[in-house]
Amino acid sequence: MKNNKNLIYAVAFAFMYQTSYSESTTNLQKQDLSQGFPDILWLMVVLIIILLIIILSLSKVLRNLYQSDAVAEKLKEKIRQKHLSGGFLLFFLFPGLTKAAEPQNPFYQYSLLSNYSFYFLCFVILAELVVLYFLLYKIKSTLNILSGKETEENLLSPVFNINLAEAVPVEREHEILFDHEYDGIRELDNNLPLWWKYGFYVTIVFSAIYLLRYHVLYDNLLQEDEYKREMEIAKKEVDEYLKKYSTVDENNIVALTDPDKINEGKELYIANCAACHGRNGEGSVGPNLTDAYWLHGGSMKDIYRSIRYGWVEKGMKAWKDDLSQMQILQITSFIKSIQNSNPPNAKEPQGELYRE
Amino acid sequence: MNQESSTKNETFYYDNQIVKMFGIATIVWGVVGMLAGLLIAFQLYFPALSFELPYTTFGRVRPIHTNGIIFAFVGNGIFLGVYYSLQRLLKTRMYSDLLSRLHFWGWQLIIVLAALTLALGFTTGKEYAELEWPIDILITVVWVIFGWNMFFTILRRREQHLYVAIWFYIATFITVAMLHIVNSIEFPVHLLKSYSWYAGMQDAMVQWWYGHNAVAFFLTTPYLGLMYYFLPKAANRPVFSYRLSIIHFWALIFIYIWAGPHHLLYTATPDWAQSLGVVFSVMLIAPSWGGMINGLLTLRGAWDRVREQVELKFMVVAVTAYGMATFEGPMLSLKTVNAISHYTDWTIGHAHIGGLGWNGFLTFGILYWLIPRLYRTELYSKALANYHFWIGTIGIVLYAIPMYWAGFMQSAMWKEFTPEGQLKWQFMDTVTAMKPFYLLRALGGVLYLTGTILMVYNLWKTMAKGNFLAQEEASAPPLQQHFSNHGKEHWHRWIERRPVQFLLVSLIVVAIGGVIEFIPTFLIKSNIPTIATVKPYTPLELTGRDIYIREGCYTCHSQMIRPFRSETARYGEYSKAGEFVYDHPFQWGSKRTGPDLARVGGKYPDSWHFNHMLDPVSMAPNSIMPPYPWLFTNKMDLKYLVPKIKALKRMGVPYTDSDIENAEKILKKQADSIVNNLKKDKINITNDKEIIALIAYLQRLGTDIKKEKNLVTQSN
Repeated sequence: MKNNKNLIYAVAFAFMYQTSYSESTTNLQKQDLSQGFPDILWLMVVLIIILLIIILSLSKVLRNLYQSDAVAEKLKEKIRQKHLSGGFLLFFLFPGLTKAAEPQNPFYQYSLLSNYSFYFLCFVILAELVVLYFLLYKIKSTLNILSGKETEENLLSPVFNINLAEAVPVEREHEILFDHEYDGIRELDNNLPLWWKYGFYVTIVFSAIYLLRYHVLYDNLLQEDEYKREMEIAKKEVDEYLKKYSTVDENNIVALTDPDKINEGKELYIANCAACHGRNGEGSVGPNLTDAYWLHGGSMKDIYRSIRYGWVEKGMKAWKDDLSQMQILQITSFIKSIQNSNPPNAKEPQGELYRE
Repeated sequence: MNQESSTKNETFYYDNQIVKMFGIATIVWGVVGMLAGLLIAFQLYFPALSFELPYTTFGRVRPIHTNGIIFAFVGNGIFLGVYYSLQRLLKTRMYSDLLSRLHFWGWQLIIVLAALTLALGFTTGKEYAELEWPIDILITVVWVIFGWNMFFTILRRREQHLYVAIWFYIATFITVAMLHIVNSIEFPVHLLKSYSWYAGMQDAMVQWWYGHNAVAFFLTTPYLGLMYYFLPKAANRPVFSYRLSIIHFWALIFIYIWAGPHHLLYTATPDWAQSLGVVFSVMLIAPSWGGMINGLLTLRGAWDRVREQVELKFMVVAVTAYGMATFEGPMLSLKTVNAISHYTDWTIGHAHIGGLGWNGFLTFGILYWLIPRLYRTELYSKALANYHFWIGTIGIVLYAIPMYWAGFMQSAMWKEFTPEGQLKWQFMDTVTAMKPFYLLRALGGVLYLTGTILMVYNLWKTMAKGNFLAQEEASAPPLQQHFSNHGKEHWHRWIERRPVQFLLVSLIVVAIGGVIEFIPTFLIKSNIPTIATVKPYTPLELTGRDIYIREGCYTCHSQMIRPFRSETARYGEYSKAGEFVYDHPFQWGSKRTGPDLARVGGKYPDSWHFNHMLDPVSMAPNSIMPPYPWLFTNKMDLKYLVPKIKALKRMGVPYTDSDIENAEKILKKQADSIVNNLKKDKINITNDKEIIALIAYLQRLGTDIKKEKNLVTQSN
């Protein structure tokens, strides 16, 4: 089990590192990685070395086992009977292999690594894992034979034969029952469930890497920079879109004439403006929009700009983040269309007289 | 074996009377707390249910619901379980019947006072710690009585070692004491008004250290203790793993304390604190699940009994809900997920998996097991209990799923932009989209409460036909003065027979996280970059702020704009820690049933606010906000204006002496200017009404930082 532990550490580390990597850098552009550390190459090499060390130490353990006289005899017959056909199954355990045909390795933009060397290193790691797996299997089955336990081992047993809860079966639990009792409650001495224990370790490793990446290596953006990045990306996208599709030129606002468009403007007006300016533009909290007097100018352009950028200190909010240029143009056109409509309950005129 | 010499049994009596008292209190307050919850759930769909009365409006009833469920229902549930199990696990009667009764009646008094003061609008404005300072002191006293009674019972035990349930009770006692005292430090103005000692971001850190660990050490650790007693008792099975108990207990209490800042992700709290909140939340998964698997695996070999015994069914669902909620919690603590879930109903769904599932169902399971035993009879109707189980379970599902759906959907709508760069949805669109979910959720609540009422009837009938035994005889050998262990024992046994050391070690373990998070927050200036233009509130604004706090506006409105494009586009520049330095207490909120108000100042004319508070739908069609007509007739209470300003000055808010002398004059002048503004829009009102103060406060919110910009542009 000790050996399994190291393997799990190594795999967990690699896994956590890569997950946190891909989570954080989805929006990053390639040039940002010119700071470029720690390179995936570095990680893979370390992993290869760690695995190699584990393999060497395990093979030594196995050699010692074989050399012991007591074992030798028992082993001879047993080992011959085993066969290795199950080994091919291994390849199905690594779905990564089938994806190897993808054009670019998943980390290409974050790494100086060429595709070729990336997959080569992957292959080396994989090969090491396979060797490791065989070693573990051998050791376990040898130990089983030694202890006289004749269980139904198969090639996958080191992986799947772990009793997930590592609990002593209910029928045998009297062996691990503590002799203390509290008001009739007894306690068992079961092992910590393996998945629980390693799960705990994984969260600890995750946490260490998380803090390291955010606060030591600065690989992940803290919230202020994250916000700046988000705004930059959004601005670029919006600018590109408007370059292609924008229909409103702010310096030359012309009223729409299409009645459907003006009608849409009316609907927008009722949804967004009527609360303050009245359903018919007669004014309530906000000024009357149907008379000829304007606080901030009554031209198409003035009205359009008043809506879009607002007069915040007077309680008129800027609508640029809520309404598109076309929508504001529609509302402006609607307001122009209700000039001199003399609605009931009209508010007294405010501002200066505006004449076309 | 020589029976005579060392093991001569002593006879004594368990106090069942106190257990019965707490049991009945649990049931009664449970129903009351759930009814309050149901009322506010329906108010979100039918705003008319606020009845236009201050006492029945969402902002005041919501704290009654949360405090009622946490401290009245679950609180009495804890004491019910502790008083029953502690005596039996230690083979002794409670230390003092007088202390037991003082504890019981003191706690019920606190609950009644809490409900009254909250309904009347006396609140500190800090979530789950809303009670005013005299009640805070009363809580401390009663809590100490509980601890004293418990600890002296432990010292007088006839059992050498403390069982795992008692470890959890000890940790609960000491940690809740620490949390409550530190978070409740406040400066009294008068008997029912105080200001939190902490301000702004620091207040937020302390509050969520408290808030998060109220969940941990009031809703979780004591209930884990109860689980460790009642589950193996009901299933008649040994606890799965003693070693797991040890590791998950210590890991849980150590790690939990650190996780508070995950309630403040992407807010104006320092990044380092947020990151600590994230990683300690993630590390909490295993310790929490340790409790779940130790509970569930204890049922190995007894699953057939789960089919038979209804109390086990409740317990299994409770433990499973615990596992779900404690996995979901760390996920919600990841920044990417939190960016979606925070401020939405997702959080509400999460909290209710814990509340309805874990606390509620475990309490029901314990009651179904315990009441027949106390009354020495069988449960009146097993069938009815089974109905309760199924109705309650469906109720939880019907509650949770709409909340998750609603939360995810609303968040997605908040964040959606058109390709032209505009927010796709007005805030009101997202509220309207929530309404069907609010209705479904309320129906889930109706089912859950229906189940509970079935239980009340069932238990009442059980009590009626049974024969209650107030003093239960038991016997056990006395505690050996000199303990000698025979041969090898687990290292942890050492501390299990030393309650004082156990208490001290627990205190140290739970204190570490808070100390490490608070000291830099309070001592290092760079955590709160100062903003020169941020000034204290004027007397009128301060009066308005106290009305804002009184009406519980923070239960639906946040004052914290996170640094996201979707929030800065909707609400304006994101909030900075330096803006809140004079906020005693902070009002960042945790839920946006309505929009954020951090920068509502200047966004609308005074008359808009006037109309909106009188009849929200007139200014914001489809709004589900209740009207506040009493603000238009109540006169501002200026009696304590000067003491309030003095109190704030004592805590470091830079009011000058002339500010204090002329407070009332300054207030009148500002009130007059608002009255004049309103007059322009044909609204006539006198300058002494509460609405004027509230408008002044709302118009101030978030505007200080704009002055800084003007300064910059002028100097350029």
